[in-house]
Amino acid sequence: MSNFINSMTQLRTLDSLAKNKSFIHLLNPFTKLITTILVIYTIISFNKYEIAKQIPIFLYPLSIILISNIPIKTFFKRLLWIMPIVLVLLLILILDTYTQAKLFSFVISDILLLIISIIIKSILTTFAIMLLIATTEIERLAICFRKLYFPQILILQFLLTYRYFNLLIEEMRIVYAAHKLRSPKKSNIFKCFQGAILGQILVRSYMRAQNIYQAMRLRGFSGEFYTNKNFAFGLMDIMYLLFWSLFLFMIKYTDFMLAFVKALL
Amino acid sequence: MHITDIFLSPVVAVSMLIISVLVLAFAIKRVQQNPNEEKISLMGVLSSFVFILQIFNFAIPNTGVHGNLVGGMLLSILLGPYAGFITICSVIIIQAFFFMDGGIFALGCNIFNMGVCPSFIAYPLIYSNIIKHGYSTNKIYIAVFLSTIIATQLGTIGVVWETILSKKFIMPITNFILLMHSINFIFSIIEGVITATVVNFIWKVYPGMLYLNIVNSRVKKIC
Repeated sequence: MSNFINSMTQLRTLDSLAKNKSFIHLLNPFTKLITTILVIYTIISFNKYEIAKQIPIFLYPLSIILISNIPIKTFFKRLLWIMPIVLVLLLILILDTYTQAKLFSFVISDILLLIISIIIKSILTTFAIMLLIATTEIERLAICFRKLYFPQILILQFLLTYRYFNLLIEEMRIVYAAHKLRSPKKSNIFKCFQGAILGQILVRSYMRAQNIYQAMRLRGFSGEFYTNKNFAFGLMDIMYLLFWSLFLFMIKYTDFMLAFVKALL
Repeated sequence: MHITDIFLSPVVAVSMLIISVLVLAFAIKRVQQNPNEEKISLMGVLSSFVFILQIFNFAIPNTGVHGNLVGGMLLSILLGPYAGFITICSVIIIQAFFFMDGGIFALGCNIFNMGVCPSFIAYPLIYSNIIKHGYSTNKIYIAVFLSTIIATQLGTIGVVWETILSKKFIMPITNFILLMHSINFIFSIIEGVITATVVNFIWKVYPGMLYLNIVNSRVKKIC
């Protein structure tokens, strides 16, 4: 249940963060989406021996967090998900034969290098996607996908899933409260009733969702999105995209940023 | 079950994305040929339901590994393979964007492993064949349980080969395959039980929600 509560809290936090009005928030969603894809592509294209080259990419999330006034603790909570991967890797790879590898001027084992590489890549990819969501409202993102010719039915599903989520939670609360009132001394739901309760939540939610959808249709909803917001590329969008493209290109194909980090160390 | 960006090479990720997009385009075309107003709200509710199911993680003792339910079979059973596939795609996209399960580059692989395998392999080959002569509690349990386990294991094969082809894992292949299949087998049993119980309940209480409504099709044939 704690997983569920955490996920709900995270969803609401990201939703509220996306409504801020910073320079990053006001950028075109296309710009942010393309930048995020470029960042992730650069990260995953590095092999495990290129750890030093990946470190300068941390400047991307750090600068965006600072500019867009997003509380950094929101992101650190989410980073805990990589811990199981690291534990499994440690457990399995510890039995593997050790080979030597070099990181900066330190000689470390190949396994440790792989684990460091995975941790860095996980942190960076998580940061990149979270920053996109924390600085872009879901409706703007949906319109962005639609402008990119994503199928209407898929976008509709994307938004309905997000919106019906609260409806389902409400139904879950009602059913759970009813169960608690009928069996007040039982802390957990009996296993034999769990399937029936899940089914009941599903049927009740479906009926309510159908009413909501029919009401939407009666008010003229056809599944298409209409907006008066301007989605044209501005000068700031072009500058933003060019800056990060150049930054990533330098990290990937030159040693300039690596030399900079080495000088700092 | 979600494979993440970091375990994939760009070539594998993009290739799988192209395959998944083609399958998705085919599924969308088939759904648009027979538009059903009621199905759209059901798709929305079910995607939220599967989304919530995927949030609940199951911990495997002494391994530190957490996995989640897939829900692809449940969606195919209630919506049909095409609409079910579109719905699982939207769930995977939301999971990737909002909960960082998987990732943007891994979308193609995840859609293939968790969407194509249950909707286009396990559903038509196993579930439909067992159920085609009518529903009963035993048949539902056997069909759902078998198809869920096979869909999950096929998805696991996908995960294993995508990781191997990406050359991002230095573990011996046999160990990796055994570990992945054993972990996902446990999840598939849990998922099979949950899906079978829910489908059985819906068949008893609200059979109109099931995609392959045998009773209705027989009535139509008689008429």
